[in-house]
Amino acid sequence: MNRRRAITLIALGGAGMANAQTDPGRDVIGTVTVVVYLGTDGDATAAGPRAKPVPDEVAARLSREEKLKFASYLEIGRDMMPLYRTYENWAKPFGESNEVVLRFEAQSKLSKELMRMDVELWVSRKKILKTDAAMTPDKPLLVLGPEWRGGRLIISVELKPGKPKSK
Amino acid sequence: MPDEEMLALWVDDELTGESAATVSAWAATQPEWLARREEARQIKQLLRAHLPASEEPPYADFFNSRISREIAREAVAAAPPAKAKGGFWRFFLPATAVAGMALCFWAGTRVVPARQAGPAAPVIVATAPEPAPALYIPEQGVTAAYFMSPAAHAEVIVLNGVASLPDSFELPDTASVEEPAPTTADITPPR
Repeated sequence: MNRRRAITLIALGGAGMANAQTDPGRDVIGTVTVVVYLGTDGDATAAGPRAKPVPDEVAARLSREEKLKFASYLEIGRDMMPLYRTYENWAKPFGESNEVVLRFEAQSKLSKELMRMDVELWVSRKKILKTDAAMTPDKPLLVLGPEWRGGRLIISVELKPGKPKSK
Repeated sequence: MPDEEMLALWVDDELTGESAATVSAWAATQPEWLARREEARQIKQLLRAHLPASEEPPYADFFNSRISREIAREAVAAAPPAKAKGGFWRFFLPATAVAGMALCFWAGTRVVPARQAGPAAPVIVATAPEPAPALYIPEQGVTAAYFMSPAAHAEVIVLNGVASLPDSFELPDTASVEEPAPTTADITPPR
């Protein structure tokens, strides 16, 4: 094999590999943060030692809405995942547990800051809700969900621009 | 011998009347063609037994509500423009418009007091609110209500009738991370 032919082959191989690695559908166009709160009017300690109190501003924000008003709030799960341009992704706020799982996927960009997203909520391995909410940064989608240990789960889904630092 | 098209229709039982009788008479002495027709009939029967006659699209409610919303949006966007006037008005209107503008300008210089220093008034642009999202609830007995909550500065969906999580469910270790929750400062900006 002469030198010219070898260079051509290397160049073609490199171009092929680069093409395979750059999938525009994998572009990260935002970050979805899912936080699960427990709102309860009863004994907050029933959630166990792994639940942690929420910041005052979160409690104040939640309690301002009559339908989400509880005596106390605890954060019991959290996950942060990238939103891909064309691929779906999953958030698992309870780690490896599948008790609460969210599937999300970009659907359309309505404006610079407004993104319509397909969001599915799965509870105990069953799909409970599917919606196509128009998401704005700093304006979460709050889902008042199932009961647990005397309280109710409030699942917060928030979209922010940029990509997660880790993951 | 019938042509290929007639034979294909006969194999599929698509022929009727005289054509069917003619081809059947010819095929009665052709075991190969009789076997083909029998095979075609068996396949049809098999398909009818296993495939539904019609099938609903998945998530029909969700699908239909999206289509309705898009149709409504298209209808607003495609509203016909005001009908142009013809004849004399076609030439007269631009002239009157220019004259009106000139008159308003002149009147403005006479009526409006001298401009005062200060910040300009904000320009308010009216934007159509986004329609409410479609909700699809596959579980029987579960209801969902969507509303915008200005108080919580959030969109809210209230689900009722969802089965409780079992009390035996224990939070995993990941739910008790001691580090502060990630904020926007932890997110790298897009490239």
